[in-house]
Amino acid sequence: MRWKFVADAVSRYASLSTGESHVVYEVPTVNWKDAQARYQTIRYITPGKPVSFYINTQTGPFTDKLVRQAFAYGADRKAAVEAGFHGVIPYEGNPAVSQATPGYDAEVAKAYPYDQAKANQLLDQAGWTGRDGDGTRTRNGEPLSIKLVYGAAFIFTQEGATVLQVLQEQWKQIGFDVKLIPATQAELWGGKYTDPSTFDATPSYWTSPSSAILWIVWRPSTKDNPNGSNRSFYNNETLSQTIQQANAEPDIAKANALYGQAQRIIQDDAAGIGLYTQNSTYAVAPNLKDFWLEKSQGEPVFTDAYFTK
Amino acid sequence: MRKSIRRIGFKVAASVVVIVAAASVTFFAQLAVPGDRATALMNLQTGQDKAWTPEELAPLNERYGFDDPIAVQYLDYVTGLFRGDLGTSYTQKRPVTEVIGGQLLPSLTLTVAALAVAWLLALGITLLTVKRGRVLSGLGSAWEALTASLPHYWVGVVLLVVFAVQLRMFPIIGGTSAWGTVLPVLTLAVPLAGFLGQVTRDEFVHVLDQPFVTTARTRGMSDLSVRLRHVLRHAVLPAVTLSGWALGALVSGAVITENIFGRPGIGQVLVTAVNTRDLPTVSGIVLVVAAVYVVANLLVDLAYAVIDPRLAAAGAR
Repeated sequence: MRWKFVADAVSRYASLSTGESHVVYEVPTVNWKDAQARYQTIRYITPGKPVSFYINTQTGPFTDKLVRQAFAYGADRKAAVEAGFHGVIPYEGNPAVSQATPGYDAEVAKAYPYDQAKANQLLDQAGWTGRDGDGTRTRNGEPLSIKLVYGAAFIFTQEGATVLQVLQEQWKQIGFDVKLIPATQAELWGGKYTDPSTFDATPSYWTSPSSAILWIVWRPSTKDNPNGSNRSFYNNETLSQTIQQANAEPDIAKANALYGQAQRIIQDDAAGIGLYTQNSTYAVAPNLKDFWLEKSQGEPVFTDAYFTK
Repeated sequence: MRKSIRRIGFKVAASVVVIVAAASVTFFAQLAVPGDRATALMNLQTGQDKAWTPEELAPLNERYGFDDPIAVQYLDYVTGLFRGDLGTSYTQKRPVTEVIGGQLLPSLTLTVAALAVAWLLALGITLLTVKRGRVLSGLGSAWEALTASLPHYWVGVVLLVVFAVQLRMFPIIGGTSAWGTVLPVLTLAVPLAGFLGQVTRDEFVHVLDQPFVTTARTRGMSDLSVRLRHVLRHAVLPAVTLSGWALGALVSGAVITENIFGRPGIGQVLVTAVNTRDLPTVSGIVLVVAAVYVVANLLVDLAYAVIDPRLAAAGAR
């Protein structure tokens, strides 16, 4: 077994065609159709939290639930994801857990379809009725400005950034002035954007084989027991109780019903907004058989693999 | 003699100052990056993006001295340099000298070979096309202007697609093998050759009009000998000056090239280290690059004296 780290997507994918590699991870989505025709392909949707927005419920315009909901209605997230990733990466409307997660509630994912009329109505209701020269909504002279911080080139690929730009344009149509702030890994992981004052929305994912991930992400953050992972700064006692009950419930059907309830609370309150699933994609040489992925992160397993002529 | 020793001593002292200055700038620039180093390390180790409590961060702050006053951290760092101690990588947990050591040779091979190939290309094209009629001269300058303006990433991907993917002449992931080094070297050499060629060409045209060239020709010297023995010596001086700079600049191009061809080297290490706020590793690499600059410029000084003996005489006076 030889592992090679080929960061450049063009070289990585091309190395398969010259026989220099037999398995390639993270197939560029532009090459996916070609890969399906020439190789064996595996697209594995990772369970856990999908790539969804944490919405800052503690400071800024998103403290108002109506504004959060308007944000969710206001852009065609599904179309943007499908176009941006060439139809390879699925849209995920459920901000709490992805469709590959045991206990996933598909109904919850259907909330907030693209509906700009509804979004406009919610924003009017929330009092953001004024407009400035650029068409940005205002309330008491304050513009409806949103700081959207995203990890550039390490959580979001160039394709992901394009999706955000499409959304930004649609949010503009209903009066949101969304500022896309690309953050480097050093900045994001160094904690530049941990304080509630530094962002209004930030997309991120967290792979986990179980809906129990909900407790890690949404556990209330208190002074005595802070939860740095709760990036929506969302403390909800009912949600907390529901997730704890689910995590303690031995009966799978009952546990999943409770997990579904928890997902609904998060979705109804728009404490998070769904975007797309996190995926592991592989292209495998036609003569390599019995190569498979383990069922959490989608890491490759080679113990059964063999070559045919 | 004593004067030239003094001159060399002065140069060496100046080089040390340059290197310490580079180290200091890097040190403070790294501190100026927003965010907290211990938080970055915790997030990196756990693959998370979250806020940590002071209690959780305390052991790391203690271990790496992040809580010490900046002045103390700086002094520790600079005194370490003079002991040959570049510190320990925060992320790889081994000495920086070891982290860089393994990656240095492939990068130096790449950059030095690229410089050599760039010179060959530039000189070849200059000798063949300057003042050889309008069409040939025009083609030469056009080629230089075109290649000088090509970005490394583009050259690399085109070479890769044409020669590795389509023609299968070279490997895509060649590592450090000689065959696998050809395309990376060309990726760096082609734009640099255009650049060196442009400077040499201007000077070459100018020198060809000088009276001593006419004299040489009247003595019956062939055109090629005139160009090689008399004109070239004068015309290469600006390009030699640029080479000192180019060797350092090639390192930044090497980052991209190493990325495309999946080649080991300090470029990759540097990018990762900056992203993970691995200050000792970043500083170590900056020092290596600064040292390359210093050595390259000393070599340029020496080369001057060889090419134009008048300069050596002036320096020793």
